[in-house]
Amino acid sequence: MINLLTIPFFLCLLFLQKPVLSNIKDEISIKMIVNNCASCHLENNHSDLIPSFFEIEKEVFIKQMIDFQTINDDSIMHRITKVLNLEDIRALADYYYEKK
Amino acid sequence: MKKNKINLNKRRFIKTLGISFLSFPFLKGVRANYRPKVVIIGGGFGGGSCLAHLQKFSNQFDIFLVEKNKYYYTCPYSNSVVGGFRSLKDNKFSLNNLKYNDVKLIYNEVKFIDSEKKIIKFSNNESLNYDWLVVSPGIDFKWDDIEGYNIETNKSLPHGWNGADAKIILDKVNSLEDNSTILLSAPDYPYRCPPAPYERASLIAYNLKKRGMRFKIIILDSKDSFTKKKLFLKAWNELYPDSFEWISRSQGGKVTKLDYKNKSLITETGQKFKGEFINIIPNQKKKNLFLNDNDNDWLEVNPSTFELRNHKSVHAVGDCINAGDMPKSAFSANSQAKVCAENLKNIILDKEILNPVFFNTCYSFASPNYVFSISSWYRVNKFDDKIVSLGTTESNINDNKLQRNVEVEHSKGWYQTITKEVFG
Repeated sequence: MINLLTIPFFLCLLFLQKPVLSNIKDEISIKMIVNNCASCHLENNHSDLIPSFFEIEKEVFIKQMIDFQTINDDSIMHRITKVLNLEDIRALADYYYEKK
Repeated sequence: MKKNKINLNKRRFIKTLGISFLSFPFLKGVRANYRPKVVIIGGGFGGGSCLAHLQKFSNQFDIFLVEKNKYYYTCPYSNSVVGGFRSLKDNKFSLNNLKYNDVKLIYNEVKFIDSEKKIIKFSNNESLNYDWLVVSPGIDFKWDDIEGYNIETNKSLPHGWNGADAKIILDKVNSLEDNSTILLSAPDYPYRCPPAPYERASLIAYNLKKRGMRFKIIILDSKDSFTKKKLFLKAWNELYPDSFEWISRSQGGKVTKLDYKNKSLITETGQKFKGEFINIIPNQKKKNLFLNDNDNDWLEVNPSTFELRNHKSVHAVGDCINAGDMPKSAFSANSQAKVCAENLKNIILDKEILNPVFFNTCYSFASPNYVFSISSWYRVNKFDDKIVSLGTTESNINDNKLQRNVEVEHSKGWYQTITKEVFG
């Protein structure tokens, strides 16, 4: 007989294995995510207080996003990136830098 | 008259109405020779963001924006005016005519919307028809919830829950004498900008402390908790020790009566509090624009398209809607507006509706150099009927002064960007 407690345990495992915004190409249009980034990072006319990622190279962008995700300092960028996985970050990079 | 400054005169109105009337019966999707007419009501963060996003399609749609006021004073950063370290004019914006030169801006007051006839009636008896409508009119107040407090008493005791009245609140704070008691009544959920009552209290404290005054701030709350509570309590303890008292609803904090003559507030447990300055932030509801509408406090929307449940071809974003787990904030309105615009465009062009994802961050000032934030991603649930949070996170409670100051820069940067994006 299956212990009822094991069901929520395995459900939690499933959830943890899959970052929430993963498979964005299939599930969520990359455009929908980018629209939220644009609240602070406009391509043109952005604030001088917020770094522009349009001025850096694609690989630097990817590295910085991974760093934000990895360094658990509760900073705003950590909170934003922690729901992304590597596939998400690469999809964002493709969107921004292939558009250039 | 400049092209982008449209004051509908009768001739133009009849012409516009006639063209749309002739086109309407044949409208299905978008024909090659037909330009759908999209009207947006409200030029704040919700309507303005929708406009900024829809403008990309101005070569395919005729876009109108209806706004009552020529100038808009932002709610974000209005408490900084109360704190005495920001000028009200720094929060004043108008839609940039150069940015929106392909949009028809109409400055007029909406009397009501007849969604069955797809017509907007204005207070001056002019009208405007539409094919698709987006409304973002903001909030109204529940004037009957506190005995003795109404629109009339609000004239001398303003709630200041809009950007424009921040200077009036500042003047009242500036007129306080040493050893004053300030009473702040915080509303019940849902209301515009959940952390803002506590930010306002913090910045009133900053203002008074800066001028070397002793004071007591008593927050009488209609709730048993509030957003970023631990962060606020820590900030008050660090910056303004022994100056704050927060009384929750279960401790008798819910205000039920204003005794205007005696400058007192009475709570539901019968406790009476007397103060030199009283700031009541009333309970809130949608601003109603519709001819035939239900009595719900908030507009109910499809969370993927933001189309209203009971008004076809009308979409709504911002503080006026029930947005599920999303708080009522400028950031939320901006995020919702982009989804609304994207999927409204998809509806009009008969394209696939995209799955939305939303983000919100609320920054709060405890002093000019002390900011913390709360943020969350949001998605639509599997039943496609509610926006749900993917988990809320806050600034670290143990952040040092430098980190609090970094959030000051982030907050200012966000404000600069969003106001540029919306107003141009």
